[in-house]
Amino acid sequence: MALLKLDDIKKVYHQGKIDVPAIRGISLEIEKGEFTTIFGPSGSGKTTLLNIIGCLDKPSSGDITYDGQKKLSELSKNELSDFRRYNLGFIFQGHNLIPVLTAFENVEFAIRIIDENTKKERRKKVLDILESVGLKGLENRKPNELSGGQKQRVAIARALVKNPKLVLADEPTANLDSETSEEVLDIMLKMNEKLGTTFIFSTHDPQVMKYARRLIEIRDGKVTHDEQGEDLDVPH
Amino acid sequence: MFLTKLAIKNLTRHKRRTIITALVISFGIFIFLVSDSLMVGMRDLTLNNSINLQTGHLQVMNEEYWNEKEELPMDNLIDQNPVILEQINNIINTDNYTSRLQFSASINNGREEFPINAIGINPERDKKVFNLEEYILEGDMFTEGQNVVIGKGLANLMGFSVGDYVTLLFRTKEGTFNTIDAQLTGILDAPHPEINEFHVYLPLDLAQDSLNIGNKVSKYLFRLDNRDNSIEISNKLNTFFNDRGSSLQAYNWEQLSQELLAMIQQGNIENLVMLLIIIILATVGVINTVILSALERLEEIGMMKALGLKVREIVYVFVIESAGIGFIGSVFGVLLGGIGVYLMSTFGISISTMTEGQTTFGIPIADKIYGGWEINTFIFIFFFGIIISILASILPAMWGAKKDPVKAIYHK
Repeated sequence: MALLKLDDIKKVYHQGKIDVPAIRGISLEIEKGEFTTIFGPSGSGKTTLLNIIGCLDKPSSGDITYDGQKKLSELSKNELSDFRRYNLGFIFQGHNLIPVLTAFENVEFAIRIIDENTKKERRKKVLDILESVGLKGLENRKPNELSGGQKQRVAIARALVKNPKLVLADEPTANLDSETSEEVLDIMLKMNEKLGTTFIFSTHDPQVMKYARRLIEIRDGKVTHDEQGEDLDVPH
Repeated sequence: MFLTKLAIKNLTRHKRRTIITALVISFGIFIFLVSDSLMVGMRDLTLNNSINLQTGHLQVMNEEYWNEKEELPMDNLIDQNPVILEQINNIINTDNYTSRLQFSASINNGREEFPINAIGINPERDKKVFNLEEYILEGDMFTEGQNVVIGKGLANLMGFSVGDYVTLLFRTKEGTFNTIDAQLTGILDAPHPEINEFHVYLPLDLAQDSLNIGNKVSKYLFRLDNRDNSIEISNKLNTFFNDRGSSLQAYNWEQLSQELLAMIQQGNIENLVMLLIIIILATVGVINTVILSALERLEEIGMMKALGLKVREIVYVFVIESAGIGFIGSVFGVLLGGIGVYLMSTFGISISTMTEGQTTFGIPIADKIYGGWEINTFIFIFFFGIIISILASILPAMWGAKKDPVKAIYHK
């Protein structure tokens, strides 16, 4: 059963009297454990689609079914918050870490709000995930004491620490150099393989696409290409 | 708990802004505490002056006289009875009593007349209740004879000096006109404008003879060991009078100072104004800080929403942060206020510099006011500072927390 089923998703932005369609009817299914990249030129609608999948934005029409049961359009704002809290992980281009918290606390934030673990379990989880992303020994550093790549690793750890079923990453390597980008992507791929977490990226970086196990191209708000496999034909 | 910890850590993000906002609140609290202390000091001084110069702690008079006391009637006076007086003194358990006879008169200097309040006193007994003699500016208090003492304001108005002869014109109990020609033996400069400007003191027996009322007086006046006992003692006396079917009634200093207490209550409006100033200062400061913080943290707010935080949880972070600012402001404000009140209670403030020697607007106050301590005010204002900060932060925090998460995350 698909983890996500998008059914004729449309999104129209209203700018004054003008309607600007961002997504023009996308239907697709994402299976559990997929490592998917959505690519396309700027303004093609990939970030909008990612935001809709992540319940940060609502589609103008269409629906998303999660895990074969839950129709996201039927959830209230608070239910959507809870849905995100327990099921989704986000990685943003700008990492969006809280500057007054240490790397440990930034990661811990994601599971403190779930509050399902004891303090000892929480600590172990956070330290394990930080070690997995190569930040062992840097737990007590604040974001301003970390490099760009290290900050993004903290953001990855924060997204993964609660073992979400789905991680959404919006251009996660956009602010990183190519070497650091590869390190970060290696980590995400490792996590995908180790934990079975489903990843969906949006990007226009060919380097990111190389890692993908499924490539979905979007142009003008429509899926123009959808390909799966090990050796995908990465556009340049 | 984690959100509380985050809110407290957020206070350190912009230390200067946090401190400036807290100082604004501190300033408001400081002003309030100093102003309140001044009011407390003024209230105490006012009441003390009134008690020490005019009312005493307790008065006994006929009930009918009490009802018409503003007109200083010649009816319903007390026929002095040593036996009853002794019984009263036994109940009160004091020898600090005196009797006074008050009547309306006009003072005349040969050219002009001015309405005054004439008071017949027995100077020796009066000393046991009042400290009038301490305020003799020139001359002496009379002991007996055709003598009077008046206030400085009245002496200046009528052009009298010590040794001059004063004529008092009044009506006797029967309504016939009479006069007293008396020598001015002393001029008072009391910390009570009414005494300085309208009172003429003369020997009790001279007043009684001139009014043709025998040994009658308007009232008995008492000084107690502790003024806080006045209500209890007046109740006891009234029980005693009622049991005997007497028309006498006892009145405690609070009943006697009703107008003054009402005036003091009016002074509390000043405190309300100060509270309003604090509310405005704290509200503007906190709203400004929360809006700035929310604007700066839009990406974080978006991230928090993406993590699954609800609006109320994000509002909670801002509100706790503001409570922290309020707490810091309140601590500083109370400390500064404490220092200010200590200085005022130790060194006082000269009222003469504030009023430039002019009238004190009818309030009986001396030339120097000392601040008073009210611990309850300190406790109240401490929590008030925190609560106002919390209340002021709610709306701007909601404004920030309700931002569309997509716009918040990508606002750049």
